Amino acid sequence: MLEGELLGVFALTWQAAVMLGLGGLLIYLGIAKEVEPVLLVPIGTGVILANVPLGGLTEPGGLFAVLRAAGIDTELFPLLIFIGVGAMIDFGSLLERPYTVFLGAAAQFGIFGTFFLAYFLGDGGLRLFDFSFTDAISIGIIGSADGPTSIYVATMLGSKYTPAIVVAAYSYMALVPIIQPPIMRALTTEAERRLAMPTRAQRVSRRTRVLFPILSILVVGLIAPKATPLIGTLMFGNLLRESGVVERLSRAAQNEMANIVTILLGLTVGGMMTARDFLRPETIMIYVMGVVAFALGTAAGLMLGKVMYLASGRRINPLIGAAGISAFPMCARVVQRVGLEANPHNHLLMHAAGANTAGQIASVVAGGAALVLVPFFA
Amino acid sequence: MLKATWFVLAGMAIVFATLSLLVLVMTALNRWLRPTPEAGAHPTRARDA
Repeated sequence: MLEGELLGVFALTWQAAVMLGLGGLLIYLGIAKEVEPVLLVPIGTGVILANVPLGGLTEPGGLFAVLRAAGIDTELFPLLIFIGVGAMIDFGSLLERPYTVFLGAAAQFGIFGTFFLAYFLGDGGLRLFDFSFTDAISIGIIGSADGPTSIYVATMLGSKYTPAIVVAAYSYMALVPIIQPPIMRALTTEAERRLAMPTRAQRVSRRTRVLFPILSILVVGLIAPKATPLIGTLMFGNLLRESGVVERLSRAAQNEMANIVTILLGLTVGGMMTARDFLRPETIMIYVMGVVAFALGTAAGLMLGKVMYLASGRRINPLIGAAGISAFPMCARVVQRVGLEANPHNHLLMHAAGANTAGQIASVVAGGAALVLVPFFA
Repeated sequence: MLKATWFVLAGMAIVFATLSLLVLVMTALNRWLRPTPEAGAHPTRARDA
């Protein structure tokens, strides 16, 4: 009796012990190393709580089971987070330099290229891992560098690897300053990196800023309807910001709502990381694929940047292409830093911010495109 | 793997097509709704400041 139901220590398996250690590691990284602490502390705590034997939090009716059913299975949490993200993003840099949108588009090759590799390693080719077509898409979505989109797409596709995908997506976003610079230096010449770009751009009116989110919903929604919930919530948040008449709501979306949902989302994702679902070779491969996804996205953005460099008569610094993946604003800051290393008078931040915010929209479109296409290919 | 190749091509095509339309929208907005000198260039940043 005591052994079976009261004393959890007798029910502790080595797999659960490993997960408890992993939860502790995530908390350590969040607190001691300040790696995405806003997410890793709740996720790490969730991992520990979910793997305490006989705790019951993941059983039907338990806290994590209820939160998962209410917030993840319904896609509610990522969509609410997106309202907050939209309220935080200033699309001004993008509106001032519309051409940077193509850099965001190119960087989405990280999603599709990684999908291709994952599918090749799984059911589509070598069969080394248990990756179905939809699992491969969910893994590729890590390349969006966008947590809510990763959760949304992986959940919509019913991937069994959703927890690992989400944790990988958020972990690698924190590692952008480490992953991107070597790729940027390898794929560009010193002369290209030195190229200074003008800091001034065309001015943008308030009416443009207000109309842009509304028109974006219509354009994206009409072409990739499955992306409507994501683009709709993102742009609703941005409309709150740009309208200038609902400051209170904008601040609530950016702060109170985003914070509360982040706590619930982090705990729930951590709660999904039980030993049975997480400790498998596929999880390790998903983490490898995550690096591949970020690297491919960065490389694709840089390649289009180089095309623009040549096509513009050497007036566009190809480095800004690396900001096309949507880890905002880290990518833009990394571009600024690498640009400054090559030329101390080179300020690429605003150009890179344009590509970076374009990447935010592009990742949503790519996620929607994947969902639209699945019925035709899977 | 052939269907995976088509999936990649179709996905990237949708992304580029959608974002090309957004560029047209942004260009049109910037052309037709130019800021008036007294309206200021960056209302959001001005408001935040």
